[in-house]
Amino acid sequence: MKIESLYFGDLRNVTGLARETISIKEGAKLLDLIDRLSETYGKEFLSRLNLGNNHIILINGQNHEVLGGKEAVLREGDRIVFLPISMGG
Amino acid sequence: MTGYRNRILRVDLTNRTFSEDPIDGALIRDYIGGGGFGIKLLYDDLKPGTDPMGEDNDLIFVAGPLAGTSAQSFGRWKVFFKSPLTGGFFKSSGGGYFASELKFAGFDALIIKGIADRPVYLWVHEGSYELRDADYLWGLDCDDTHALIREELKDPAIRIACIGPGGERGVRYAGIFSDRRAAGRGGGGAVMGAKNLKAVALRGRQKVSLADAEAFKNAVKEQVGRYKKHPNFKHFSLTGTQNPEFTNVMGMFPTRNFREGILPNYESIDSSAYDKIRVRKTRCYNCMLHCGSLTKINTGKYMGSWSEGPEYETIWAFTGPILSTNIGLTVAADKMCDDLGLDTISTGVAVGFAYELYEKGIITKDETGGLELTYGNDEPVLTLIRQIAYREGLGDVLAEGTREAARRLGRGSEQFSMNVKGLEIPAYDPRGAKAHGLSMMTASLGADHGYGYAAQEIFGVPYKGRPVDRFATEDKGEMTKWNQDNRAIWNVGILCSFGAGYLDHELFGRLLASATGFRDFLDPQYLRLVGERIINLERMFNVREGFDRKDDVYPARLTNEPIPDGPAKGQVFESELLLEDYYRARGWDLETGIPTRSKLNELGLEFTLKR
Repeated sequence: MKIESLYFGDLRNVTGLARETISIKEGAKLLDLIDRLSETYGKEFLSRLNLGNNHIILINGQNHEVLGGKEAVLREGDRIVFLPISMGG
Repeated sequence: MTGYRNRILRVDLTNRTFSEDPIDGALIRDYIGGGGFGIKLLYDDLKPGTDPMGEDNDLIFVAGPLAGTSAQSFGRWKVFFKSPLTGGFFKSSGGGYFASELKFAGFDALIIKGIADRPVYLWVHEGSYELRDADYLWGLDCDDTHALIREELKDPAIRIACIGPGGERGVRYAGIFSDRRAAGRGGGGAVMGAKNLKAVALRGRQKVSLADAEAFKNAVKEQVGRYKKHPNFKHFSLTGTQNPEFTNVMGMFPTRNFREGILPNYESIDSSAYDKIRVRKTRCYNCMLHCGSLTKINTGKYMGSWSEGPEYETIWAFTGPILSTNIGLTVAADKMCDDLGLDTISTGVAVGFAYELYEKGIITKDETGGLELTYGNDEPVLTLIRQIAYREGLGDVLAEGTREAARRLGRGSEQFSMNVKGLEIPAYDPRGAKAHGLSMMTASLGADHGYGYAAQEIFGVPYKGRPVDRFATEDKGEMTKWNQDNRAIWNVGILCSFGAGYLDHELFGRLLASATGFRDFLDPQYLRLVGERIINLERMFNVREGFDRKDDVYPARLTNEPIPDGPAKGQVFESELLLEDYYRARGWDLETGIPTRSKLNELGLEFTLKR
């Protein structure tokens, strides 16, 4: 299935992209996507991501933690946003 | 006394007299400082029904107990007054260096009353004070006012808070400006202008003394360590809030006067775009965040425009309401509002209000003086801002605030004024985040986004260890109370919101106690009680002016019309449900929204009951 992945700030520097469409297996979870991106872009991706501190992840605009965290199951056409936290702390 | 200067200067502009008061011990004990001082002093001074533009309104400037010390991010100053825009309590906050200089000049607060017979400015220096002629400054914009006062007094290090032409003409959302930082909202500039007070200038060299210098030094060291260790410190330091993408990806970036939640082509003005035009970082007194930015436009019709900012709210104010993605206009409009002395948020919403009225034919090209207020057209905006500041043409009506403007225009325009209690709603669609919306709906200031910012909904900060669903309505009352009381706690410092993420009540208490010597402040429970007391006293100020449940309300657009598209599609703001939950959490009467007798007793606010 195809999902869309959006990047801002630091992660845009790491990936070189503002957004991309990714083909991933049916029933894949968010952590599968993160693993895939980590493979594609290297260690830098995970260290800059620093979930909860530097970024939150939105699945179709909702905080992924509300949808089951990294175990959240992705669906065809989902839009995943890696959003930098723009506040101190 | 330490931390505090223990001196409040009272200025009577009508009689041109001054008096100095020490700070009442009970004021410190029960309200600590900053926002606590502001509401208590204003409540005690004012009678209900005071004309905000008249002699008897106060303009109270406050610097916190930690201003002027080495503690990080405590440099903000606050102004307190009865608002000419809302008719209620208002506190407006600015950054820069004004608060620290007030402490160095020897004072914790200035209480200014009366009306001068001609334009004056207040000059406070090394413990002395005088009123000086401001005829030659009247009419000048804020930057020029700063430059000329510094020249006149032969000292470039003087710190100033002033008004621009907007404040002089009583624009109801005119602000007070210090070195391009704005105490923007609520019309403090109009109050100042009505008093014929052009500026307050400060200079001092008295260091702030500390009760326990060693303990204070250690607490600051710990605070600094937290900033340095935090993984998001560097990023926030660099970008500040110049990233409008965050509310767009959540579908709650208000467009076309709160009709939709996503700005088409918002990607062209996201944080990467601002990275390209940022030329320098700026900062406030003793803050290592230096989150301010100087931006400059190098191409296009706004070439040569520059600004300190624009920050998120301003970025939204000149894009969302009119459906523009012209970054040059945003920067130019920010600078113009700074120069002319206007609140960017209310100005942007007022312009957006005019655009919707034009779309619907409620106002015509005749009334706009030929300006074509069509979505996507950025051309009229700078002209319209000038018209507002100088009260010309349509600007004269818009200068009243959208609520009053709608009342004067009639013709069905009332439903398009997007305000709470008269204060224009800022850059967050309440339908996209319910606790955030609840705070803006119930705040004593009107729709203020900072009063109880719901970081849990906007930035995924866990609440009681659990993630929060921004669309859910359950338990949002308690969370809103927590957010509002918490902000009130930081406000006694006066701590910048952006520094709050690096502190907790325990470390905050240690900073306060080691600076002031008041060991009660070490107890987080004590701080929380003070926070709740402050919020309730602000509420009672408004109750005394006739506010109640009927004023905790959003325009029908937000409660009845679902967001049409995007991640927040279908959402409305469930105001009845959320409000009741909030009143229960607060211990306020469900029917009237007024704090109950037992709640007031609990908080030591019995004195508000005698009316």
